[in-house]
Amino acid sequence: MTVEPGVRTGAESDASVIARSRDEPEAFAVLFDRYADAVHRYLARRLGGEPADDLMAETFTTAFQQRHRYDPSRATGDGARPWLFGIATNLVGRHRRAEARRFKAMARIPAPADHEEPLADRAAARVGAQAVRQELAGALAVLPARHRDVLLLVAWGGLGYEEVAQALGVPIGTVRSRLHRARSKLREALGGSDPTILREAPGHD
Amino acid sequence: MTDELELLRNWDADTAPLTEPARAKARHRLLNTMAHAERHPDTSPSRRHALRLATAAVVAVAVTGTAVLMTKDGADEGDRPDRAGRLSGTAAPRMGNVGAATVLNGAAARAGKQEKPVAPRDDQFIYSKRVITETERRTGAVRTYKDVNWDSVDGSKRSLTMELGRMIWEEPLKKGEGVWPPREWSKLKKLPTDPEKLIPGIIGVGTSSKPMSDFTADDWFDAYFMLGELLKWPVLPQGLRPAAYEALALVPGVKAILGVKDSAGRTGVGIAYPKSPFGQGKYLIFDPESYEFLGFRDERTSASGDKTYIQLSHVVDWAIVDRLKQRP
Repeated sequence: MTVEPGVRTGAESDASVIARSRDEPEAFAVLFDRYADAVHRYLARRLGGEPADDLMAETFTTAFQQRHRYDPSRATGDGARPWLFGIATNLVGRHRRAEARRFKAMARIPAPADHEEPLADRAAARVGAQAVRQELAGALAVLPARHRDVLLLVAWGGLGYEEVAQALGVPIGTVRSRLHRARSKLREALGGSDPTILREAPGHD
Repeated sequence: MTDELELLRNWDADTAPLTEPARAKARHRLLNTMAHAERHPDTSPSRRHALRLATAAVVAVAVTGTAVLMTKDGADEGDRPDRAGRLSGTAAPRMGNVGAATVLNGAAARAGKQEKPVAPRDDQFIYSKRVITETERRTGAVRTYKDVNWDSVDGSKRSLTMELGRMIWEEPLKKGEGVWPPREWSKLKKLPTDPEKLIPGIIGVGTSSKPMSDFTADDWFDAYFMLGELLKWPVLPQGLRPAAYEALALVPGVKAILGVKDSAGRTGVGIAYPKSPFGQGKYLIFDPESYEFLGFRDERTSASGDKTYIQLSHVVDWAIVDRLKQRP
């Protein structure tokens, strides 16, 4: 995508773009360019690159078809981000098992080597980080889906509590309690109150 | 201190970034969905209204680099007979070997010879009369409309336009609102009449200084769309119309379609941009020998979404007048 620096000054708000797209469908492409990368990144972290390619596209076509239902008065701010991430999260819902399988696999096997780094670095410094990744993946794999959704919307979607509530259509209190539980599970998996102190890497189960 | 949430945030979960082919494919899917979307049923369909909005959209599209839309796989699908059939709607035209460039350059030469110098004042109106023949795709029922329009030259006054026989008052442009092509004669006069300068001059609404060698597929679609809209305007400063035809010939992906009919039933050559979902079913029609411009082909869907119409239109008369409803 090419954006001329400075041209998008006073860029139109998401709410305005969506409202305009009701009469003028092509306007919706603006949202794609604003959020395609963010939505893709969120989906790719949950499901991997290939399913993310497909679900990112589906997120935007679904959003486009539901644009008449977008209610800016219920949105926090005027950003479409929570709305789009809510749609993406619903789509992830159809792939729960695949997601859990992916995290389980990541908990067991070492992460792929980064070939751009010198061998010595990979061998030594990464061991700790890799262990953390395995712990995190293992914990994510066994979280209840609704807890995982909240946790990952916050951590990977970059949404605030209110935005998560809006994205999932649940009360903010529910968001807080689900997040609290999910974080507790993660902390446990990471070995206590200070996750920077790592346990030994777990054996294969 | 690092907490579990931060560790999670910093973990990319072995994610590769979105690749350009995947982005193009996803955008293509979205644009295809859009191209088949109904307009909002509460909105009365208005060509003029749509033009103004669409123009605003193009501006947004152009400046954010949004436009379109093609995958490498789809680059040549314009040549497939089934796609050509869908493009035509009625007949079964062929994507031809007659080069689009030959037709467009011929049209440019003809327009250059025939144009006369004009210079409307900003306080005047451009009167135009457009004949539209509309054929319902399913039943073949044909209706003909004669729409007359009085457009304020600089957009500062109310304009009176017609949409398939229905009169519509258009309020003056508000501050910050714009249309493409620009209404002010002074702005039109500033557009380059060298086709190679015109193209970089109109994408990004004139804010881009990108050379054509750096154009992306999106930039080329912008150029195609903006040139088409420019050519629809009945009155242009001397040299601009031939330049726009020649510029259109420089756009990769523009194709000639043989055996299309104009609104008077004459057989012509269509100039289309089959790569884009927005361009489907739309083209400029020229006489295959003299390269005279015969009109436009377009499609519209009824507000309920259950009827499709093929529209053939051309401007039969135009003039510069001082007052609304004044005829030449």
